[in-house]
Amino acid sequence: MNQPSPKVLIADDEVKFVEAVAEYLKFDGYTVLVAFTGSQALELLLREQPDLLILDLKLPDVPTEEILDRLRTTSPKTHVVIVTAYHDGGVKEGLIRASGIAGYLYKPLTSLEVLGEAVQSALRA
Amino acid sequence: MSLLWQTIIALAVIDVCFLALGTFVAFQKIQPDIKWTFVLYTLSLSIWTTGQAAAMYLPDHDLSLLAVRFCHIGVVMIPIFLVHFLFCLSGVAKEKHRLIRNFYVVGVFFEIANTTPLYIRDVTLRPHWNLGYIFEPAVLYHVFLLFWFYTAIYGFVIMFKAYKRAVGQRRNQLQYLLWGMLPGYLGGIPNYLFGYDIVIPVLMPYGTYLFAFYVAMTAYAIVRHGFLDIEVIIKRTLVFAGLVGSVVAVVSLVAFVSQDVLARFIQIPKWLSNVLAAVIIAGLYGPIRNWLTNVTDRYLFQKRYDYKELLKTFTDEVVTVLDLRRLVEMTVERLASTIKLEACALLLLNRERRRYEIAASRGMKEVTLSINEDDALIALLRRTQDPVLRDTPGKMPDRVEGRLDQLQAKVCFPLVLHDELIGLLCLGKKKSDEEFTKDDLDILMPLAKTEAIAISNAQLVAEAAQKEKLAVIGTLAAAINHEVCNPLNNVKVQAEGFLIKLKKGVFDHFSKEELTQKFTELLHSSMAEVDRSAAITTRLSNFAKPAREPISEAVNIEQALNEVKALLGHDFELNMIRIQQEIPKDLPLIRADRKQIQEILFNLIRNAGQAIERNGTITVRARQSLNGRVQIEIQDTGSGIPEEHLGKLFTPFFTTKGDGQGTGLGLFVVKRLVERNDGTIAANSARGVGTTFTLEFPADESALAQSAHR
Repeated sequence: MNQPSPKVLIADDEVKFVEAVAEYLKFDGYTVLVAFTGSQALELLLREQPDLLILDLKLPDVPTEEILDRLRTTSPKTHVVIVTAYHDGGVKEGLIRASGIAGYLYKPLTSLEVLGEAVQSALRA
Repeated sequence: MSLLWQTIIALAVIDVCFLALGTFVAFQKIQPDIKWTFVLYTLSLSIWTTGQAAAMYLPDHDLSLLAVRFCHIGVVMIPIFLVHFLFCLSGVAKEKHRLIRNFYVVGVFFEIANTTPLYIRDVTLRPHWNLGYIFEPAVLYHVFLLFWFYTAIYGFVIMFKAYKRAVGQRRNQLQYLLWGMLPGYLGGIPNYLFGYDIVIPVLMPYGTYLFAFYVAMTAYAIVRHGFLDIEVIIKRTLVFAGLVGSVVAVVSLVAFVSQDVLARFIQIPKWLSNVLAAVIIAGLYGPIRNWLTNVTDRYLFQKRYDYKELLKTFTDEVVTVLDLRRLVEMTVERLASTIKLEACALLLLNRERRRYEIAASRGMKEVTLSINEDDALIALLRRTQDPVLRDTPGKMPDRVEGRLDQLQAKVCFPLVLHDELIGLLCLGKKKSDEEFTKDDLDILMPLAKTEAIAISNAQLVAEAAQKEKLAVIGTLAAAINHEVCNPLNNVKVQAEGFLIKLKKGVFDHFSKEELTQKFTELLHSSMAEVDRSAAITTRLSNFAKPAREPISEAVNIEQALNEVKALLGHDFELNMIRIQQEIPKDLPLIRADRKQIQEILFNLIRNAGQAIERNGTITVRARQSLNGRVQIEIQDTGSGIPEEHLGKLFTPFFTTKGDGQGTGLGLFVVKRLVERNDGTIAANSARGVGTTFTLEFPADESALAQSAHR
């Protein structure tokens, strides 16, 4: 692999989760960026044009829909994996997947490896 | 007015009373021996008063002597008829027939004696008394007087014994007869004594009126506890007697003032004082009659009116109460105060424990009593579905009696619904010491039936309200899940990350101390996350608990609101609903139950969120209102409530939500909780603008005092 390492942005307000995932992905050779709020995430998306965004469904300041809308214009190549603790019987997941997003994981995660696989498959798509 | 005339009028008044009473009793359907002995007794009393009055009035010596002899025809028979009547009333006339016959023999003897100077020697004028002709007792009169006292005391003993033994209605009758006789005799005694030149002040002539009291008591005993159809006649008689008394009083007073008091300063002709008296009587007649009618109504017929009141209270207020605790409390309270009971208790079936437990009580020594389902009393009530009286003549199992005594119950009503005994209503002794009569039972039994229905309604609503709560929890589950899943996820990814690093040898070059520190950090972090998720589940389980008695404590509105926001916050954020708080820093605490206040706020804010659906603001405003209470407003920017629905908002089972979405109990439960905490709730709404719920709770007094101090 002589390609540069993929750039992943993790946006979640759960600090411990972000730290653990960042460490794990760095270990796997990714370049990792972190954001704890919606506005931080939007700024990094615009500036860093990451290959992948791991997005919490609920960020304290900016609604998910707005982030996804803005993503399409400012950083269209960025793939998205949603990670959420919101269990609603798959209603929201259906809506999100319909909009073309492939990765959708629920907290608590089955394992970090499953997240790693989701990141890989999203990047391959 | 002279003592002579006052005495004559007093005698005339009670004469009318005796005649009236005797006549009315004569036409009643009563056990014949009781009836006729009583009638004869009143007749002999009437003869006495007529003769006595005539003897005093007649200025002629011979006529007056004749009147005295006539008078004593009655006097002799009074004690004999009375004792006979009492024997009949207490049901021992047959056993005592020999004694009764002997009494009549004695009576006949004195009647014969009455025709001779051996009984009454003569009538003479006693100028110092100015009472007209008065009889002079002879030797046999002294004997008769002894006989009279003997029978009087004997009569009381019979009656008292009978009273002690009697149960139910008869006991009440005897009680009143007993109480009526005592002053009656007290009033009668002077009339027997003045032949000896003994005039007891006050008792003569006014003591005679005590006989009217006796008549009233007898009438009361009969009306209350027997022959209801004569009540109107008795009432009129009493009013009439009272009117006569008032007229006499007015005439005497005017005569006294004008002839005695004013005479020292000015001479008023007699005709003028009579005209004056007539004018006053004419003016006062109407009001006095009304007043007397009211008084007799109130005192003589009070019970019946109270029962009307009780029935009205029950149908208007009590049975419509849907809160079980308030319903039973009100029932017991109203019954105890209206019937004036020493004790009262309502027991309800606890289906799980298969016992009947006291749900509300007044004046009970044991307030936590409970009875097993297979108890003898329960079995009896279940089988007969009739009230059980403690003092039922005839046999009642000892175990039932013992149980009734333990419940301090004189009567126990079954609360039956669909053939199931759902509870017991126990009424204790009446403060008046009266027994429960058939009248009482006739009125109270339908009341107990209605109560059973009301209790069942309240129980159903309580169950439904709990279901509503569970339904709310269901819809909450998703939001709660989020609050639990985040910390769980943190624990998991941190632990997994640690293990991965361990496996990949990241820690290989770590010293033992460094590794221990890394590990300690991980464990501390995990523990903190576990606490975080536990906090939210505790909140949920608190909310899920069934309703209970409110605890009075000082509650901080802002803190309560924060708890609620923690439960609802996530759901709201997802739907872009903001909660705006306008709570002044110096807002007094309120006096209420903290958990119930949270439940109230939770329900209202959740409703507000549902009204908004998406993107809007809920404003929670609090302020101290002018009356010192604390006002809380919860305003939403939702769709608003149509005016025609506004009035029905708090009625149970009213809902505008679709099938299966709402039970229609949310706001009903809220209102109930608010009322339990001495609060009020009102709703205002405008279509398209939003709805505002306004709550008001009492401020915490101690907090108020503090803020005033500052």
